Amino acid sequence: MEYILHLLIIICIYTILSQSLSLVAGYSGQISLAHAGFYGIGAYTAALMAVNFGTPAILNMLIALLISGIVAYIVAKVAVKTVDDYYVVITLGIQVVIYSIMNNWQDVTNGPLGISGIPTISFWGVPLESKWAFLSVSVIISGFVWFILNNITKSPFGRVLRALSEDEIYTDSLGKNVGNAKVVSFVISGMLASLGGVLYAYYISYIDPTSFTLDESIFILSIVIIGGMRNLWCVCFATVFLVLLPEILRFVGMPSSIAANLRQIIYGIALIIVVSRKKTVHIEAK
Amino acid sequence: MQLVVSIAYFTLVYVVIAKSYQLTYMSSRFFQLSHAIVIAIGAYFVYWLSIQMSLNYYLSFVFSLFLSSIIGWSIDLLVYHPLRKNKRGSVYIMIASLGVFVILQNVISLLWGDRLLPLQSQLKGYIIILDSIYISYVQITTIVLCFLLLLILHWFSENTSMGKTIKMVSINPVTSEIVGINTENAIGWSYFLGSLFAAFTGILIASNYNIIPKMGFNWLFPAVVTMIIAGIGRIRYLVFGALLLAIVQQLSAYFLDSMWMNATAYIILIIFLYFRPFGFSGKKPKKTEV
Repeated sequence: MEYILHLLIIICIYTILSQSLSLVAGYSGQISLAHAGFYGIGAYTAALMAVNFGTPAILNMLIALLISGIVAYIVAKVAVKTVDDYYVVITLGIQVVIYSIMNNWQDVTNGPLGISGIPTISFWGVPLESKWAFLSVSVIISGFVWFILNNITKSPFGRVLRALSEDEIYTDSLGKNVGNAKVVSFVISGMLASLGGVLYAYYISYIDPTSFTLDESIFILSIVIIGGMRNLWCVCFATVFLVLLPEILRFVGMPSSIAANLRQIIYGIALIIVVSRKKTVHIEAK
Repeated sequence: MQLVVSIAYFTLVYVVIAKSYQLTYMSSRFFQLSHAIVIAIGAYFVYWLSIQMSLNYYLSFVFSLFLSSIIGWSIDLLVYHPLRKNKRGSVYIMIASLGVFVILQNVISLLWGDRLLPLQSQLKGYIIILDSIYISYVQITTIVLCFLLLLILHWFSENTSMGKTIKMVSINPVTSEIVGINTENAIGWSYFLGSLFAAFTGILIASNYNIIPKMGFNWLFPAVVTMIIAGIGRIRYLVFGALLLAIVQQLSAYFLDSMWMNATAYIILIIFLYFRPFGFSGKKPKKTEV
Protein backbone atom coordinates (compact mmCIF):
# COMPACT_ATOMS: atom_id res chain seq x y z
CA MET A 1 0.00 0.00 0.00
CA GLU A 2 2.84 2.37 0.91
CA TYR A 3 4.37 1.64 -2.47
CA ILE A 4 1.20 2.49 -4.36
CA LEU A 5 0.84 5.71 -2.38
CA HIS A 6 4.43 6.59 -3.25
CA LEU A 7 3.72 6.06 -6.93
CA LEU A 8 0.58 8.17 -6.75
CA ILE A 9 2.46 11.06 -5.15
CA ILE A 10 5.19 10.87 -7.81
CA ILE A 11 2.49 10.84 -10.49
CA CYS A 12 0.95 13.97 -8.95
CA ILE A 13 4.30 15.77 -8.99
CA TYR A 14 5.00 14.84 -12.59
CA THR A 15 1.49 15.77 -13.64
CA ILE A 16 2.12 19.27 -12.32
CA LEU A 17 5.42 19.44 -14.19
CA SER A 18 4.22 18.07 -17.49
CA GLN A 19 0.98 20.02 -17.58
CA SER A 20 2.77 23.26 -16.85
CA LEU A 21 5.26 22.49 -19.61
CA SER A 22 2.34 21.73 -21.89
CA LEU A 23 1.30 25.37 -21.62
CA VAL A 24 4.61 26.50 -23.13
CA ALA A 25 5.54 23.60 -25.39
CA GLY A 26 2.05 22.59 -26.47
CA TYR A 27 -0.16 25.62 -26.46
CA SER A 28 2.27 28.36 -27.39
CA GLY A 29 4.55 26.05 -29.36
CA GLN A 30 7.81 27.11 -27.69
CA ILE A 31 9.69 23.93 -26.91
CA SER A 32 11.51 24.52 -23.66
CA LEU A 33 14.22 22.32 -22.18
CA ALA A 34 14.60 24.38 -19.01
CA HIS A 35 11.70 22.91 -17.11
CA ALA A 36 13.73 20.78 -14.73
CA GLY A 37 15.56 23.97 -13.86
CA PHE A 38 12.39 25.60 -12.56
CA TYR A 39 11.46 22.36 -10.85
CA GLY A 40 14.85 22.54 -9.14
CA ILE A 41 14.43 26.21 -8.22
CA GLY A 42 11.18 25.34 -6.46
CA ALA A 43 12.72 22.40 -4.64
CA TYR A 44 15.83 24.29 -3.56
CA THR A 45 13.90 27.36 -2.41
CA ALA A 46 11.57 25.29 -0.27
CA ALA A 47 14.39 23.16 1.11
CA LEU A 48 16.66 26.09 1.97
CA MET A 49 13.86 28.08 3.56
CA ALA A 50 12.64 25.13 5.58
CA VAL A 51 16.07 24.01 6.75
CA ASN A 52 17.66 27.40 7.43
CA PHE A 53 14.72 29.47 8.65
CA GLY A 54 12.06 26.92 9.51
CA THR A 55 9.40 28.89 7.67
CA PRO A 56 5.94 27.36 7.14
CA ALA A 57 5.19 25.43 3.97
CA ILE A 58 2.66 27.90 2.59
CA LEU A 59 5.15 30.76 2.79
CA ASN A 60 7.82 28.60 1.13
CA MET A 61 5.49 27.84 -1.73
CA LEU A 62 4.76 31.52 -2.25
CA ILE A 63 8.45 32.41 -2.19
CA ALA A 64 9.25 29.56 -4.58
CA LEU A 65 6.55 30.86 -6.91
CA LEU A 66 8.00 34.35 -6.67
CA ILE A 67 11.63 33.38 -7.26
CA SER A 68 10.93 31.05 -10.15
CA GLY A 69 8.62 33.68 -11.61
CA ILE A 70 11.39 36.27 -11.52
CA VAL A 71 13.91 33.88 -13.08
CA ALA A 72 11.41 32.80 -15.72
CA TYR A 73 10.66 36.43 -16.55
CA ILE A 74 14.33 37.25 -17.12
CA VAL A 75 14.84 34.09 -19.16
CA ALA A 76 11.73 34.64 -21.24
CA LYS A 77 12.69 38.23 -22.00
CA VAL A 78 15.88 36.96 -23.62
CA ALA A 79 14.46 33.82 -25.16
CA VAL A 80 11.54 35.60 -26.78
CA LYS A 81 13.94 37.26 -29.19
CA THR A 82 14.69 33.93 -30.80
CA VAL A 83 12.60 31.41 -32.69
CA ASP A 84 12.40 27.69 -33.30
CA ASP A 85 15.60 25.82 -32.72
CA TYR A 86 17.48 28.80 -31.31
CA TYR A 87 14.81 28.87 -28.61
CA VAL A 88 15.51 25.25 -27.76
CA VAL A 89 19.24 25.98 -27.56
CA ILE A 90 18.63 28.98 -25.28
CA THR A 91 16.46 26.98 -22.89
CA LEU A 92 18.98 24.15 -23.00
CA GLY A 93 21.61 26.66 -21.92
CA ILE A 94 19.40 27.92 -19.09
CA GLN A 95 19.03 24.37 -17.89
CA VAL A 96 22.81 23.95 -17.91
CA VAL A 97 23.31 27.22 -16.01
CA ILE A 98 20.70 26.48 -13.34
CA TYR A 99 22.16 23.02 -12.87
CA SER A 100 25.69 24.38 -12.57
CA ILE A 101 24.52 26.95 -10.01
CA MET A 102 22.87 24.20 -7.95
CA ASN A 103 25.95 22.04 -8.29
CA ASN A 104 28.65 24.65 -7.75
CA TRP A 105 27.41 27.36 -5.42
CA GLN A 106 28.55 25.37 -2.45
CA ASP A 107 28.03 28.00 0.25
CA VAL A 108 24.30 28.03 -0.32
CA THR A 109 23.23 24.84 -2.03
CA ASN A 110 25.85 22.57 -0.47
CA GLY A 111 26.97 21.48 -3.93
CA PRO A 112 26.70 17.87 -5.08
CA LEU A 113 26.05 16.70 -1.52
CA GLY A 114 22.61 18.22 -1.57
CA ILE A 115 20.40 19.33 1.28
CA SER A 116 19.21 16.78 3.77
CA GLY A 117 16.91 16.88 6.77
CA ILE A 118 14.02 18.79 5.21
CA PRO A 119 11.19 18.68 7.78
CA THR A 120 7.86 17.05 6.98
CA ILE A 121 5.30 19.35 5.49
CA SER A 122 3.03 20.99 8.05
CA PHE A 123 0.11 23.36 7.82
CA TRP A 124 -0.67 25.64 10.75
CA GLY A 125 1.48 23.61 13.06
CA VAL A 126 -0.03 20.25 12.12
CA PRO A 127 2.63 18.03 10.55
CA LEU A 128 1.36 15.66 7.88
CA GLU A 129 3.43 12.60 8.47
CA SER A 130 1.40 9.82 6.92
CA LYS A 131 1.55 9.20 3.19
CA TRP A 132 -2.21 9.48 2.91
CA ALA A 133 -2.07 13.04 4.16
CA PHE A 134 0.78 13.92 1.81
CA LEU A 135 -1.06 12.34 -1.08
CA SER A 136 -4.11 14.47 -0.37
CA VAL A 137 -1.96 17.61 -0.27
CA SER A 138 -0.35 16.76 -3.60
CA VAL A 139 -3.70 15.89 -5.15
CA ILE A 140 -5.06 19.25 -4.00
CA ILE A 141 -2.07 21.13 -5.40
CA SER A 142 -2.04 19.28 -8.69
CA GLY A 143 -5.79 19.77 -8.95
CA PHE A 144 -5.22 23.47 -8.36
CA VAL A 145 -2.58 23.57 -11.11
CA TRP A 146 -4.89 21.65 -13.43
CA PHE A 147 -7.72 24.07 -12.68
CA ILE A 148 -5.54 27.11 -13.42
CA LEU A 149 -4.17 25.62 -16.63
CA ASN A 150 -7.61 24.54 -17.75
CA ASN A 151 -8.91 28.05 -17.25
CA ILE A 152 -5.95 29.66 -18.96
CA THR A 153 -6.13 27.44 -22.00
CA LYS A 154 -9.88 27.98 -22.39
CA SER A 155 -9.61 31.74 -21.92
CA PRO A 156 -9.05 34.28 -24.73
CA PHE A 157 -5.40 34.33 -23.69
CA GLY A 158 -5.20 30.60 -24.35
CA ARG A 159 -6.60 31.16 -27.80
CA VAL A 160 -3.95 33.80 -28.45
CA LEU A 161 -1.31 31.24 -27.49
CA ARG A 162 -2.78 28.66 -29.82
CA ALA A 163 -2.98 31.18 -32.62
CA LEU A 164 0.59 32.33 -32.22
CA SER A 165 1.85 28.78 -32.25
CA GLU A 166 0.21 28.32 -35.62
CA ASP A 167 1.01 31.62 -37.25
CA GLU A 168 2.96 34.20 -35.35
CA ILE A 169 2.88 36.98 -37.91
CA TYR A 170 -0.83 36.62 -38.54
CA THR A 171 -1.58 36.75 -34.81
CA ASP A 172 0.57 39.83 -34.57
CA SER A 173 -1.37 41.43 -37.41
CA LEU A 174 -4.60 40.85 -35.51
CA GLY A 175 -3.30 43.20 -32.88
CA LYS A 176 -2.37 40.62 -30.29
CA ASN A 177 0.84 41.19 -28.41
CA VAL A 178 2.73 38.06 -29.37
CA GLY A 179 5.93 38.70 -27.43
CA ASN A 180 4.00 39.51 -24.30
CA ALA A 181 1.88 36.37 -24.59
CA LYS A 182 5.02 34.25 -24.93
CA VAL A 183 6.62 35.82 -21.87
CA VAL A 184 3.48 35.48 -19.76
CA SER A 185 2.97 31.84 -20.68
CA PHE A 186 6.60 31.04 -19.94
CA VAL A 187 6.43 32.75 -16.55
CA ILE A 188 3.21 30.97 -15.57
CA SER A 189 4.65 27.64 -16.63
CA GLY A 190 7.87 28.22 -14.68
CA MET A 191 5.96 29.25 -11.57
CA LEU A 192 3.69 26.23 -11.64
CA ALA A 193 6.66 23.93 -12.18
CA SER A 194 8.24 25.26 -9.00
CA LEU A 195 5.19 24.02 -7.07
CA GLY A 196 6.09 20.51 -8.19
CA GLY A 197 9.59 21.13 -6.88
CA VAL A 198 8.30 22.25 -3.48
CA LEU A 199 6.23 19.08 -3.18
CA TYR A 200 9.18 16.94 -4.21
CA ALA A 201 11.51 18.53 -1.65
CA TYR A 202 9.04 18.01 1.20
CA TYR A 203 8.22 14.51 0.09
CA ILE A 204 11.70 13.07 -0.40
CA SER A 205 13.15 15.29 2.41
CA TYR A 206 16.55 15.18 0.68
CA ILE A 207 17.47 16.90 -2.57
CA ASP A 208 20.60 17.04 -4.64
CA PRO A 209 21.34 18.49 -8.08
CA THR A 210 21.15 15.13 -9.87
CA SER A 211 17.35 15.21 -9.66
CA PHE A 212 17.23 18.34 -11.81
CA THR A 213 19.49 17.53 -14.73
CA LEU A 214 19.00 17.89 -18.44
CA ASP A 215 17.81 14.28 -18.54
CA GLU A 216 14.94 15.27 -16.29
CA SER A 217 14.01 18.09 -18.66
CA ILE A 218 14.08 15.68 -21.56
CA PHE A 219 11.90 13.29 -19.57
CA ILE A 220 9.27 15.97 -18.86
CA LEU A 221 9.36 17.10 -22.47
CA SER A 222 8.90 13.55 -23.66
CA ILE A 223 5.85 13.19 -21.41
CA VAL A 224 4.35 16.27 -23.03
CA ILE A 225 5.19 15.16 -26.54
CA ILE A 226 3.92 11.63 -26.01
CA GLY A 227 0.80 13.07 -24.40
CA GLY A 228 0.06 14.94 -27.58
CA MET A 229 1.21 18.42 -26.57
CA ARG A 230 -2.11 20.15 -26.15
CA ASN A 231 -4.45 18.08 -24.10
CA LEU A 232 -4.27 18.22 -20.32
CA TRP A 233 -6.05 14.88 -19.95
CA CYS A 234 -3.77 13.11 -22.40
CA VAL A 235 -0.69 14.67 -20.77
CA CYS A 236 -1.94 13.28 -17.45
CA PHE A 237 -2.37 9.79 -18.94
CA ALA A 238 1.08 9.99 -20.51
CA THR A 239 2.49 10.90 -17.10
CA VAL A 240 0.88 7.87 -15.50
CA PHE A 241 2.19 5.66 -18.27
CA LEU A 242 5.75 6.95 -18.28
CA VAL A 243 6.08 7.05 -14.50
CA LEU A 244 4.83 3.48 -14.18
CA LEU A 245 6.99 2.18 -17.03
CA PRO A 246 10.21 1.84 -15.01
CA GLU A 247 8.24 0.12 -12.23
CA ILE A 248 7.18 -2.50 -14.74
CA LEU A 249 10.83 -2.98 -15.64
CA ARG A 250 11.57 -3.46 -11.96
CA PHE A 251 8.91 -6.15 -11.66
CA VAL A 252 10.40 -8.00 -14.59
CA GLY A 253 13.55 -8.29 -12.49
CA MET A 254 15.91 -5.97 -14.29
CA PRO A 255 18.87 -4.88 -12.14
CA SER A 256 18.51 -1.20 -11.28
CA SER A 257 21.76 -0.14 -12.95
CA ILE A 258 20.57 -1.43 -16.32
CA ALA A 259 16.97 -0.36 -15.75
CA ALA A 260 17.93 3.31 -15.35
CA ASN A 261 19.64 3.35 -18.72
CA LEU A 262 16.96 1.23 -20.33
CA ARG A 263 14.30 3.62 -19.09
CA GLN A 264 16.06 6.53 -20.80
CA ILE A 265 16.49 4.51 -23.97
CA ILE A 266 12.77 3.80 -24.04
CA TYR A 267 11.99 7.51 -23.65
CA GLY A 268 14.36 8.31 -26.49
CA ILE A 269 12.77 5.75 -28.78
CA ALA A 270 9.31 7.00 -27.86
CA LEU A 271 10.35 10.57 -28.71
CA ILE A 272 11.59 9.58 -32.15
CA ILE A 273 8.51 7.48 -32.89
CA VAL A 274 6.09 10.18 -31.80
CA VAL A 275 7.89 12.85 -33.79
CA SER A 276 7.93 10.76 -36.94
CA ARG A 277 4.23 9.94 -36.76
CA LYS A 278 2.15 12.37 -38.73
CA LYS A 279 -1.02 12.48 -36.70
CA THR A 280 0.40 13.33 -33.32
CA VAL A 281 2.19 16.47 -34.33
CA HIS A 282 -0.07 19.47 -34.07
CA ILE A 283 2.28 22.27 -34.78
CA GLU A 284 4.55 22.71 -37.72
CA ALA A 285 7.45 25.08 -37.44
CA LYS A 286 7.47 27.78 -40.05
CA MET B 1 51.52 32.60 -19.56
CA GLN B 2 50.13 29.19 -18.85
CA LEU B 3 46.79 30.79 -19.66
CA VAL B 4 47.89 31.57 -23.22
CA VAL B 5 48.64 27.92 -23.88
CA SER B 6 45.29 26.74 -22.62
CA ILE B 7 43.46 29.53 -24.46
CA ALA B 8 45.14 28.43 -27.68
CA TYR B 9 44.23 24.83 -26.95
CA PHE B 10 40.58 25.56 -26.21
CA THR B 11 40.22 27.96 -29.11
CA LEU B 12 41.43 25.44 -31.65
CA VAL B 13 39.36 22.60 -30.23
CA TYR B 14 36.24 24.77 -30.20
CA VAL B 15 36.87 25.95 -33.74
CA VAL B 16 37.23 22.44 -35.08
CA ILE B 17 34.14 21.12 -33.29
CA ALA B 18 32.16 24.19 -34.28
CA LYS B 19 33.32 23.85 -37.88
CA SER B 20 32.33 20.20 -38.02
CA TYR B 21 29.03 21.10 -36.44
CA GLN B 22 28.50 23.93 -38.87
CA LEU B 23 29.04 21.54 -41.74
CA THR B 24 26.05 19.48 -40.66
CA TYR B 25 24.01 22.45 -39.44
CA MET B 26 24.35 24.39 -42.68
CA SER B 27 23.40 21.50 -44.90
CA SER B 28 20.43 20.24 -42.90
CA ARG B 29 19.44 23.42 -41.04
CA PHE B 30 18.77 22.25 -37.53
CA PHE B 31 20.75 21.85 -34.32
CA GLN B 32 21.46 18.16 -34.20
CA LEU B 33 22.32 17.21 -30.66
CA SER B 34 23.42 13.73 -31.63
CA HIS B 35 26.69 15.34 -32.71
CA ALA B 36 27.64 15.25 -29.02
CA ILE B 37 27.47 11.50 -29.01
CA VAL B 38 29.69 11.22 -32.07
CA ILE B 39 32.40 13.15 -30.19
CA ALA B 40 32.20 10.74 -27.27
CA ILE B 41 31.82 7.59 -29.29
CA GLY B 42 35.06 8.20 -31.21
CA ALA B 43 36.99 8.18 -27.95
CA TYR B 44 35.12 5.11 -26.72
CA PHE B 45 35.91 3.21 -29.90
CA VAL B 46 39.60 3.99 -29.49
CA TYR B 47 39.40 2.80 -25.90
CA TRP B 48 37.61 -0.36 -26.96
CA LEU B 49 39.95 -1.21 -29.82
CA SER B 50 43.29 -0.19 -28.36
CA ILE B 51 42.84 -1.24 -24.74
CA GLN B 52 40.13 -3.86 -24.60
CA MET B 53 41.01 -5.51 -27.92
CA SER B 54 44.71 -4.53 -27.59
CA LEU B 55 45.03 -3.36 -31.13
CA ASN B 56 47.71 -0.98 -32.33
CA TYR B 57 46.94 2.57 -31.16
CA TYR B 58 47.19 4.26 -34.55
CA LEU B 59 45.29 1.49 -36.28
CA SER B 60 42.48 1.73 -33.75
CA PHE B 61 42.52 5.50 -34.19
CA VAL B 62 41.81 5.12 -37.89
CA PHE B 63 39.22 2.40 -37.36
CA SER B 64 37.42 4.40 -34.74
CA LEU B 65 37.29 7.46 -37.01
CA PHE B 66 35.79 5.33 -39.72
CA LEU B 67 33.26 3.68 -37.40
CA SER B 68 32.10 6.92 -35.85
CA SER B 69 31.63 8.62 -39.19
CA ILE B 70 29.60 5.62 -40.27
CA ILE B 71 27.49 6.11 -37.15
CA GLY B 72 26.99 9.82 -37.83
CA TRP B 73 26.05 9.08 -41.41
CA SER B 74 23.63 6.31 -40.48
CA ILE B 75 21.91 8.48 -37.86
CA ASP B 76 21.17 10.92 -40.66
CA LEU B 77 20.06 8.15 -42.99
CA LEU B 78 17.84 6.31 -40.52
CA VAL B 79 16.34 9.13 -38.47
CA TYR B 80 16.66 12.56 -40.02
CA HIS B 81 16.24 11.59 -43.66
CA PRO B 82 12.70 10.14 -43.23
CA LEU B 83 11.72 13.16 -41.12
CA ARG B 84 12.98 15.57 -43.76
CA LYS B 85 11.09 13.60 -46.38
CA ASN B 86 7.88 14.06 -44.37
CA LYS B 87 8.60 17.81 -44.23
CA ARG B 88 8.87 18.04 -40.48
CA GLY B 89 9.80 21.40 -39.02
CA SER B 90 13.33 21.87 -37.77
CA VAL B 91 12.15 21.86 -34.14
CA TYR B 92 10.75 18.37 -34.56
CA ILE B 93 13.88 17.02 -36.17
CA MET B 94 15.77 18.57 -33.30
CA ILE B 95 13.58 16.73 -30.81
CA ALA B 96 14.28 13.53 -32.69
CA SER B 97 17.99 14.29 -32.43
CA LEU B 98 17.49 14.74 -28.70
CA GLY B 99 15.99 11.25 -28.69
CA VAL B 100 18.97 9.87 -30.59
CA PHE B 101 21.31 11.62 -28.16
CA VAL B 102 19.54 10.11 -25.13
CA ILE B 103 19.46 6.63 -26.64
CA LEU B 104 23.10 6.52 -27.69
CA GLN B 105 24.40 8.10 -24.48
CA ASN B 106 22.63 5.43 -22.48
CA VAL B 107 23.84 2.71 -24.81
CA ILE B 108 27.38 3.95 -24.15
CA SER B 109 26.92 3.89 -20.41
CA LEU B 110 25.36 0.44 -20.63
CA LEU B 111 28.33 -0.85 -22.57
CA TRP B 112 31.21 0.90 -20.80
CA GLY B 113 29.74 2.14 -17.53
CA ASP B 114 29.47 5.67 -16.19
CA ARG B 115 32.87 5.95 -14.57
CA LEU B 116 35.92 7.76 -15.89
CA LEU B 117 37.99 5.73 -18.29
CA PRO B 118 41.61 6.65 -18.95
CA LEU B 119 42.63 6.71 -22.57
CA GLN B 120 46.23 5.56 -22.68
CA SER B 121 47.98 7.81 -25.06
CA GLN B 122 51.28 7.22 -26.78
CA LEU B 123 52.32 10.74 -25.89
CA LYS B 124 53.51 11.20 -22.37
CA GLY B 125 55.47 13.90 -20.67
CA TYR B 126 55.69 17.58 -21.34
CA ILE B 127 58.17 20.21 -22.33
CA ILE B 128 59.00 23.33 -20.39
CA ILE B 129 59.45 26.67 -22.06
CA LEU B 130 60.87 29.68 -20.22
CA ASP B 131 61.17 27.74 -16.97
CA SER B 132 57.53 28.13 -16.06
CA ILE B 133 55.24 27.13 -18.89
CA TYR B 134 54.32 23.49 -19.05
CA ILE B 135 53.01 22.15 -22.33
CA SER B 136 52.24 18.48 -22.54
CA TYR B 137 52.96 16.66 -25.77
CA VAL B 138 49.27 15.84 -26.05
CA GLN B 139 48.43 19.51 -26.04
CA ILE B 140 50.99 20.31 -28.70
CA THR B 141 49.78 17.48 -30.90
CA THR B 142 46.19 18.56 -30.42
CA ILE B 143 46.97 22.14 -31.37
CA VAL B 144 48.96 21.12 -34.43
CA LEU B 145 46.48 18.49 -35.58
CA CYS B 146 43.50 20.78 -35.08
CA PHE B 147 45.21 23.43 -37.16
CA LEU B 148 45.92 20.87 -39.88
CA LEU B 149 42.33 19.64 -39.73
CA LEU B 150 41.06 23.16 -40.28
CA LEU B 151 43.34 23.60 -43.28
CA ILE B 152 42.21 20.27 -44.74
CA LEU B 153 38.57 21.12 -44.19
CA HIS B 154 39.03 24.50 -45.79
CA TRP B 155 40.83 23.00 -48.75
CA PHE B 156 38.16 20.34 -49.05
CA SER B 157 35.24 22.73 -49.11
CA GLU B 158 36.93 25.11 -51.54
CA ASN B 159 38.53 22.75 -54.02
CA THR B 160 36.85 19.39 -54.27
CA SER B 161 33.60 18.81 -56.06
CA MET B 162 31.94 17.19 -53.03
CA GLY B 163 32.93 20.14 -50.86
CA LYS B 164 31.49 22.54 -53.38
CA THR B 165 28.31 20.50 -53.58
CA ILE B 166 27.84 20.59 -49.81
CA LYS B 167 28.43 24.35 -49.90
CA MET B 168 25.82 24.77 -52.63
CA VAL B 169 23.27 22.74 -50.70
CA SER B 170 24.00 24.79 -47.61
CA ILE B 171 23.50 28.08 -49.41
CA ASN B 172 20.36 27.20 -51.31
CA PRO B 173 18.90 23.69 -51.21
CA VAL B 174 16.02 24.39 -53.58
CA THR B 175 18.11 25.85 -56.38
CA SER B 176 20.73 23.15 -56.05
CA GLU B 177 18.03 20.55 -56.45
CA ILE B 178 16.82 22.32 -59.57
CA VAL B 179 20.33 22.30 -60.99
CA GLY B 180 20.39 18.55 -60.47
CA ILE B 181 22.38 18.09 -57.29
CA ASN B 182 21.37 15.15 -55.15
CA THR B 183 20.76 17.11 -51.94
CA GLU B 184 20.16 14.13 -49.70
CA ASN B 185 23.41 12.61 -50.86
CA ALA B 186 25.25 15.83 -50.10
CA ILE B 187 23.67 16.07 -46.66
CA GLY B 188 24.71 12.47 -46.00
CA TRP B 189 28.28 13.33 -46.97
CA SER B 190 28.28 16.38 -44.76
CA TYR B 191 27.20 14.19 -41.84
CA PHE B 192 29.91 11.68 -42.66
CA LEU B 193 32.59 14.35 -42.71
CA GLY B 194 31.23 16.28 -39.75
CA SER B 195 31.23 13.12 -37.67
CA LEU B 196 34.72 12.28 -38.85
CA PHE B 197 36.13 15.59 -37.64
CA ALA B 198 34.05 15.53 -34.46
CA ALA B 199 35.32 12.06 -33.59
CA PHE B 200 38.88 13.14 -34.36
CA THR B 201 38.67 16.02 -31.89
CA GLY B 202 36.86 13.75 -29.43
CA ILE B 203 39.81 11.37 -29.42
CA LEU B 204 42.29 14.22 -29.06
CA ILE B 205 40.33 15.66 -26.13
CA ALA B 206 40.07 12.25 -24.55
CA SER B 207 43.82 11.73 -24.63
CA ASN B 208 44.23 14.95 -22.65
CA TYR B 209 41.34 14.44 -20.26
CA ASN B 210 39.51 11.19 -19.57
CA ILE B 211 36.43 9.73 -21.23
CA ILE B 212 32.98 9.76 -19.67
CA PRO B 213 29.68 9.34 -21.50
CA LYS B 214 28.82 12.99 -20.84
CA MET B 215 31.96 14.43 -22.40
CA GLY B 216 30.32 14.83 -25.78
CA PHE B 217 27.73 17.22 -24.51
CA ASN B 218 30.20 19.11 -22.32
CA TRP B 219 32.32 19.87 -25.37
CA LEU B 220 29.55 20.34 -27.88
CA PHE B 221 27.87 23.00 -25.81
CA PRO B 222 30.67 25.60 -26.05
CA ALA B 223 31.07 24.72 -29.72
CA VAL B 224 27.40 25.45 -30.36
CA VAL B 225 27.81 28.73 -28.48
CA THR B 226 30.83 29.47 -30.69
CA MET B 227 28.82 28.78 -33.79
CA ILE B 228 25.94 30.98 -32.69
CA ILE B 229 28.08 33.91 -31.63
CA ALA B 230 30.17 33.59 -34.77
CA GLY B 231 27.18 33.59 -37.05
CA ILE B 232 27.13 32.35 -40.58
CA GLY B 233 30.04 33.18 -42.76
CA ARG B 234 33.74 32.84 -43.08
CA ILE B 235 35.90 30.71 -40.88
CA ARG B 236 37.59 33.75 -39.35
CA TYR B 237 34.36 34.60 -37.56
CA LEU B 238 34.43 31.15 -36.00
CA VAL B 239 38.00 31.77 -34.87
CA PHE B 240 36.97 35.11 -33.34
CA GLY B 241 34.05 33.51 -31.56
CA ALA B 242 36.08 30.62 -30.23
CA LEU B 243 38.86 32.97 -29.13
CA LEU B 244 36.44 35.18 -27.24
CA LEU B 245 34.78 32.21 -25.61
CA ALA B 246 38.07 30.55 -24.67
CA ILE B 247 39.50 33.77 -23.23
CA VAL B 248 36.45 34.48 -21.11
CA GLN B 249 36.19 30.86 -19.96
CA GLN B 250 39.85 30.63 -19.04
CA LEU B 251 39.76 33.94 -17.20
CA SER B 252 36.69 32.83 -15.27
CA ALA B 253 38.39 29.54 -14.47
CA TYR B 254 41.46 31.46 -13.34
CA PHE B 255 39.71 34.03 -11.19
CA LEU B 256 36.64 32.12 -10.03
CA ASP B 257 36.71 28.40 -10.43
CA SER B 258 36.78 25.99 -13.33
CA MET B 259 33.32 24.77 -12.36
CA TRP B 260 31.73 27.92 -13.75
CA MET B 261 32.99 27.47 -17.31
CA ASN B 262 29.69 26.27 -18.74
CA ALA B 263 27.80 29.07 -17.05
CA THR B 264 30.10 31.75 -18.46
CA ALA B 265 29.76 30.24 -21.94
CA TYR B 266 26.04 30.58 -21.63
CA ILE B 267 26.18 34.14 -20.32
CA ILE B 268 28.21 35.13 -23.37
CA LEU B 269 25.55 33.48 -25.50
CA ILE B 270 22.80 35.51 -23.80
CA ILE B 271 24.69 38.77 -24.26
CA PHE B 272 25.27 38.01 -27.91
CA LEU B 273 21.74 36.92 -28.65
CA TYR B 274 20.45 40.03 -26.96
CA PHE B 275 22.66 42.57 -28.69
CA ARG B 276 23.83 40.87 -31.87
CA PRO B 277 21.35 38.10 -32.62
CA PHE B 278 23.21 36.98 -35.74
CA GLY B 279 26.70 36.87 -34.36
CA PHE B 280 29.92 38.51 -35.47
CA SER B 281 29.21 38.19 -39.15
CA GLY B 282 25.76 39.75 -38.75
CA LYS B 283 24.40 37.70 -41.62
CA LYS B 284 20.97 36.31 -41.10
CA PRO B 285 20.83 32.54 -41.49
CA LYS B 286 18.41 32.01 -44.33
CA LYS B 287 15.77 29.41 -43.77
CA THR B 288 14.79 27.35 -46.75
CA GLU B 289 12.23 29.25 -48.72
CA VAL B 290 11.53 29.83 -52.39
